[in-house]
Amino acid sequence: MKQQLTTEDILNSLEGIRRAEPSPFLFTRVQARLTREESRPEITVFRFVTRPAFAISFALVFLLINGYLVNSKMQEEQSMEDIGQPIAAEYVQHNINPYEIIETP
Amino acid sequence: MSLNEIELISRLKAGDAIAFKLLVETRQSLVFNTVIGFLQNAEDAEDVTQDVFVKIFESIPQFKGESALSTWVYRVAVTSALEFLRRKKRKKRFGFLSPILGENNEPTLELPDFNHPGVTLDNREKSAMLFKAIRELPENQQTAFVLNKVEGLSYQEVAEVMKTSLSAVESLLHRAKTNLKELLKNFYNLE
Repeated sequence: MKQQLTTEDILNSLEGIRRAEPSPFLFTRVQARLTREESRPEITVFRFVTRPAFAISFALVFLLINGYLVNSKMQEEQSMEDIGQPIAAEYVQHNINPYEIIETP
Repeated sequence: MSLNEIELISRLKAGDAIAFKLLVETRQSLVFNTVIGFLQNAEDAEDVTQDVFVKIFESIPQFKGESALSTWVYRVAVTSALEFLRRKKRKKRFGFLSPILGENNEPTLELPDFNHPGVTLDNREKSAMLFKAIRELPENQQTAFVLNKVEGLSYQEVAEVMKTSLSAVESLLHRAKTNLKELLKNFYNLE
């Protein structure tokens, strides 16, 4: 039989197709699923967490905290440099060698 | 949009259980038939159909009424069916990891031949061959073909569901038929 078949025959095999019907208890099952989901708080939490608005807000807060931490770190380094520089300058100015051995008479 | 539909939507948005039951009863075969066209398995199609109605119940407050209710229901059905197929493909692709990860070892066997319950008896064998080839089509061609040939939507209705133009649907269906012919030739050595 297959030898006589053409691709056109197969492509036309859906002509006159009728709709497939689900089981007659579909609504009861959908209702049961809805009740089950309502009684599970973790699903509500998950749904909230996966909302785009939540994700974008979370990303913004994350970036702000990161920016704040980087900025404060840079300021801290700057202030350390400010403290260290006059001491270093004084050493240079008075030609002090901290490793010089001073012989006492 | 008919007045009844407007009333149905507003009642659905208000969380009316009777309106939701009416929606399920009047659209269940539409959803199931669309989904089974993609999944080619009655049990999976039943599960996904339930998912579709749960999603509709939960997202009806966001429905703006820019399209007909049925068009929106078709979109939810198509999206859910495609998501299911993608998940299944992913599972199959990373199936070798499941013994390591300790996931359920579900068998990932190839789908058997699918006999759509609405196909006439003398077309059963031929349609099973066609459904096997449909599985191999790209998603958008598969969607256009299933909506047009299995669900019987017009080109215009397919365009509305797929949010595309009429000419794009014509082109998708033309390419789908060309690809199906090639696939059938390769599968069954046909002319």
